[in-house]
Amino acid sequence: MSSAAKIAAPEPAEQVTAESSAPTSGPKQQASQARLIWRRFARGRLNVAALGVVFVFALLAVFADFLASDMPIVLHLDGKTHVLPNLASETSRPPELRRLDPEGLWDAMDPDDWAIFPPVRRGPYAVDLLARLEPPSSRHWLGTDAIGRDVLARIVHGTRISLSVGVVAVGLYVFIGIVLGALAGFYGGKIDLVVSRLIEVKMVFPTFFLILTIMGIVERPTIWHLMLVIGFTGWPGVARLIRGEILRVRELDYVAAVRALGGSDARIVLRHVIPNSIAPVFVAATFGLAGAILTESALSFLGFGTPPPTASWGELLTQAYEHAVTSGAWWLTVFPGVALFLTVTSYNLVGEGLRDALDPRL
Amino acid sequence: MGSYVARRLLVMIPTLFGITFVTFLLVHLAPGDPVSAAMGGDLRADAVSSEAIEHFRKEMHLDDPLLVQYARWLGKLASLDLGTSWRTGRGVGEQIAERLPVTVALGGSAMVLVYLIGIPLGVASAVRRGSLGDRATTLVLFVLYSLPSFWVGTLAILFLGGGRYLDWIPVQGLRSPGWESLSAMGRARDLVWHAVTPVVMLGYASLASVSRYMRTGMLDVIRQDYVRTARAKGLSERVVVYKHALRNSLIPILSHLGTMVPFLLGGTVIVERIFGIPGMGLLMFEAILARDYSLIMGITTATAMLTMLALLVTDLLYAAVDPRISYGKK
Repeated sequence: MSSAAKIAAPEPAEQVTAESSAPTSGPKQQASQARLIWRRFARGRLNVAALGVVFVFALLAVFADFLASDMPIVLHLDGKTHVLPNLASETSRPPELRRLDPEGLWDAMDPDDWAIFPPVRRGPYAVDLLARLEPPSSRHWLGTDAIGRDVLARIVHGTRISLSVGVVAVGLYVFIGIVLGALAGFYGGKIDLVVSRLIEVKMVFPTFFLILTIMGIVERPTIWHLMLVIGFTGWPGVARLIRGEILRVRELDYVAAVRALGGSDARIVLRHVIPNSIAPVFVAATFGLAGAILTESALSFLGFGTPPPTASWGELLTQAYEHAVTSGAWWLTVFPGVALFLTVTSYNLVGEGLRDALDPRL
Repeated sequence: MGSYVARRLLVMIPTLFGITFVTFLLVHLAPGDPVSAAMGGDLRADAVSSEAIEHFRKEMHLDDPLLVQYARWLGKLASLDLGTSWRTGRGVGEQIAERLPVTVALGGSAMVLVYLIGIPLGVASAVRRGSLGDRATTLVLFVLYSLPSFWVGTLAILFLGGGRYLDWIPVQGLRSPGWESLSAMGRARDLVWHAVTPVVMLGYASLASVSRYMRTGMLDVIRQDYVRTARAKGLSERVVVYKHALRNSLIPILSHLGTMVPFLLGGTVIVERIFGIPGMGLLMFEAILARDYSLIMGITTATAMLTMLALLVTDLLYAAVDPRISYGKK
């Protein structure tokens, strides 16, 4: 009995009043709508924490070269000051800085030379042959991998790969999904038939098999292939969402009003219908990011993803798997996995919070 | 009923065409050369005489137009001939038939377990909505859902697989060494013991979605008038929940059953690869590594058919569970 009473209880009054006051004027209403959504989102403390984690990993990705690099951020060596040598690749560096590994640089510096170092003084490719599969130490905070590369440096730079694959791939499929879904929903007819069939085909096809097949037959896969493949296989979900929303919105009075005012199809769809049906797409895109990041690392784990020697979380986990029984290298398993897990969980949590915030009925 | 099934089976044909054609195009337009793959990898391809390559290409009809090749493949499919694996020289159908039961058994056990655990969890969560238990369950399942199986698998092998740490679980294959010498009981026990970890890895992620579906479905039903009527009649809460509410809230979860099949099949690639289990997933992995085109085509076709059959069974189950749905009349 008590559970039924709880379910029937009305939603908190604050929401109801906020929403009933919503339909006033244009921009102001949008701002208050955003604030309302944020307030509902921030009600869950876990949501905010997850957003924080998302933010931190985004910073890691953007500033990877400032956090872990072979080269200092500013270097004064032999009377010359080099600014941001950490951003230059080995070949584009000034000649005197090429062939300097982290230790060599240290040796080359005289007492009157100085440098501002990143927190981790080695990049993702610097090999420390004397320290292969070393556990965490003061020299390598998170240990080293099978050929003596710093795990922390590789995780930091792997973040960049994971996030950029996720963002580009999801951006691509959201775009394709919106275009195809909008065409199918708004015009119906043959376009709808084709798009709906494609969506159905995709429903019965194990997408991971498809992605794996494509990545497996590409001769020299790069992360661009990964982005494209995930991007071109992911759109049906978004298309289905948009199609459904547009079918719902299309018949509403305000669309008829725009049409009566002489608005073109393009104007109706782009200015009115899509903005009114975009909310679930945001949610799908957030979950999609988590999914794409997982797919990337799963593919890299299987050896069909980010090509070596590029650092990626999946590749680190492959090494971990290969050495799991023989070496007991727990740092290779635990740290990249935690990074992956935190990222995926955070995106999922944010997606969840966003969905609840956008749709208070749930 | 019979005519409905027949119609559904007919509708599957164009979908199957679509899937196989797309895979066929992908595999044949790919830059990687099957000849060099078949003759021992990229590096040694130069060493093979050009006549041998010519001969191979002719034998495999690789120089025909793509549509002709596809038509030939379809023609063979019609007589249930999936071709020959280029690398091993064995029949594709034969290899799939050998590996499929393993995957179906693993996936099936995972599915059964997921439903056996997920449904009661969902019901309990819905009945005690908002309680500490509900929130804790939701959180734990959420975490499980976000845990990549290849990471958990690697962790399990590392810490429990008998390396430097504990030796609790078998990590390779489905049989212990010396399996032949075991008694029938011992063999069965050994098999189950080897299958436990892979089944758990395969299933745990789906637990969240099943129990969530169940929770939502239950919450929908529990608000309905007939449930209130049942309560008003003075029935016990247990009878109301398990007899009146549960049955109707099982309907939405059926739709989930169909979508779980492709998900599980995708998961088997990773799980079977990690634990070295000779199933379809590992076969797919090997086929892609070797660019074994006919094998890739065969597995794709088989999985697509499997998924479509699962969807069909789901729809039929709908009718069985919900008397309002009938496929008999138009």
